[in-house]
Amino acid sequence: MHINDTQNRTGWDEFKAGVSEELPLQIGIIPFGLVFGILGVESGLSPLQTICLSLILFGGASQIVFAQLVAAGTPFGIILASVTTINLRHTLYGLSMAAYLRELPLYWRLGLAYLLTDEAYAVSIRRFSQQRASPHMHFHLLGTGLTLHLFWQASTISGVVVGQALPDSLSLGFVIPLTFIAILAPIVKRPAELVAGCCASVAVLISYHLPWNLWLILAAFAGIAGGLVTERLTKQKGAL
Amino acid sequence: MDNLILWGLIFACGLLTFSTRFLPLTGLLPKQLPPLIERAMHYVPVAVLTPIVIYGVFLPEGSLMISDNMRIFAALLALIATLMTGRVIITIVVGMGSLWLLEILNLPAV
Repeated sequence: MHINDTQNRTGWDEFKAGVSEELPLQIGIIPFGLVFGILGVESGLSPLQTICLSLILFGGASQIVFAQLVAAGTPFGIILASVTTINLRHTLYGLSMAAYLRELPLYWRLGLAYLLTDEAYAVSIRRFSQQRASPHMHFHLLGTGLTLHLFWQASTISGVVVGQALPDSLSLGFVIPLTFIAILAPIVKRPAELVAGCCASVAVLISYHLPWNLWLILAAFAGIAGGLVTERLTKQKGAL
Repeated sequence: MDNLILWGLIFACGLLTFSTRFLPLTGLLPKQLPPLIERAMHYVPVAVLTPIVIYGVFLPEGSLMISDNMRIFAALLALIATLMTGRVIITIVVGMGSLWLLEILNLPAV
């Protein structure tokens, strides 16, 4: 099949494309899930609670924070606020995908919303925004999301079951930033995107100590603002 | 911590997290978003994923680590690997491999 011929894809084609584009990222997901599985049990959650947290929340970073805060005996209100603040970025993901998904029946939107998290979003938004649309495009997100879901649950369970044997000194949590470096490199193409990344980075270093993990959502807005301003400035320069 | 309350907290966090994902897809949004918002959406992947990288590299324990932080070098090597090959697997192998190597080499300096 020709690479640009994406508008004639069937649902099954889209699903398969989503799965195969998501698979390489799983080398980062497996250690991440293992780390969470280990941490969950260490922090005082039962094995079943640790596994259910992956199943119900399905948001890696927020689950790690959940476990850490439970271990520290943090009041419930603060745990709830922290987890929600970290996951507010999903609202931005949903907004940027709404244009492609809003005409779908309710059960599709409910299912895809449940699966919408970093690595599935990052892969599927590239297909949605950079390749020609097809009527079955949503199957692509189903493919990326289900692949991620399957590997996340399996690696959480593995972490719970065999994780205690892995030493902390392996720094397995480092696979998370590494995975995102690989996702980010092809996205950053124009000066505006580079500035967006730099503004967001500076915002992290300024705001990381704020309560409820506010740094992530503040950095996201700083990055978006930086990108928009640069876009406007470079456009004006071009017009002169 | 009381077990039943912990379960309640897990479900409450799950419900709120699901809301953060489903809210934009409820159909309550206007079909045509303002042009500024439409353009802002283009920067969401960069603006959200970069902070996660920065936090993981510079703040692995929740506090700023600039000196004696092998993750910075490992992340730079991983970035070079990504730019050269464009492959996730090679990026992770180079990043984890160089972190382990640098930590082993650095141990006697403690």
